[in-house]
Amino acid sequence: MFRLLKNSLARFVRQNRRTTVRKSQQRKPTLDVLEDRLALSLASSVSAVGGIKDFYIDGHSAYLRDSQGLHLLADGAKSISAVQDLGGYARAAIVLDNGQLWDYFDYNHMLKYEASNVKDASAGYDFDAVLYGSGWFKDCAFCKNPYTTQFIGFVASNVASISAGEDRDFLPLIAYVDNTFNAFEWRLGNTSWVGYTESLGANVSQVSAG
Amino acid sequence: MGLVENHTDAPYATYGGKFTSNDSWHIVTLGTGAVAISAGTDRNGAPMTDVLFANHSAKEYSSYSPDGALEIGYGIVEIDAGHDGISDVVTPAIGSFPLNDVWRFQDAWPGYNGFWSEPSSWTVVVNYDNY
Repeated sequence: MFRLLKNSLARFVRQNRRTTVRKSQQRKPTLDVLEDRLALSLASSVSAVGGIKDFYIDGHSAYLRDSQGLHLLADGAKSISAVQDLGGYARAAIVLDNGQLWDYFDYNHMLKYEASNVKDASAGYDFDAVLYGSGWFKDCAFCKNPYTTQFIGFVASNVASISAGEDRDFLPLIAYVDNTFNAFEWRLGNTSWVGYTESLGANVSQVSAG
Repeated sequence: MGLVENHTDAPYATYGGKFTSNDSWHIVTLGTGAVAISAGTDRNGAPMTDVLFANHSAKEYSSYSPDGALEIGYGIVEIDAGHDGISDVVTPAIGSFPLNDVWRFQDAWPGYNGFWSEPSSWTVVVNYDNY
């Protein structure tokens, strides 16, 4: 199996490589078993002010690579989600191994603490979808303002995975799957804390919002 | 497991923004073996769906797909669709297990006929290959 996979990779790289950059050897977090994964969170690139911004996690550290070079954003990172935000700048939500959620703002190159006890976070336009993994809000999903860190909407409880997007009116949209494999779409209305939920169906393993 | 569908909301109610009826569903792939999906937008701003299959191959479905899907490649363990036709692709590094490589894939601009004009671009973000 490993031989087959290795050979396939060699062909893949030969056929598709454009440029090569060498780095020092460094261990990366071992990926979970493919079938068990509900969220894709190791790398996230976004086209924004200053060109394309490549956010990724390497060796449990979060990095940003752009035209200015390579920037270490945080150590002890486990997931990263980037988006083009207000003013066209890139922003990334970074979840650490210890459950802390930090936001990186490319417009001022600063990190801002947002929450603790976080299991997963997905960056949306002008908001974060935040799923808590422990504490009072265990398995609860919220819509939060990353600039003020304030809660702006309660999405649902008993949530297994989340994904941030935007609705037809360019307002926050969070798609999620609950612990019984039912999928839903939650949207924030025109007023904070007024949200609308719609079922997307049963027997769903993952949902991704665009 | 394996059915992937796109869901699009119908226009919302004018006052308050509530859901309305007549949302649309579009089956992306009926093929078995899809294990992960990621939603984004293509270079036209239209929906783009990246699908990762259990055999570690990945396909991209968008408004430009000439035959319904663009083969991204194989030997892939993660794919993350962004906007503007950008996808991040993670592959195990050759000869450096368990390290991974990260690639940025971006669709070319559409050709005159609405389909892709080749080539799309691959840019390495992280490379731990050792061979």
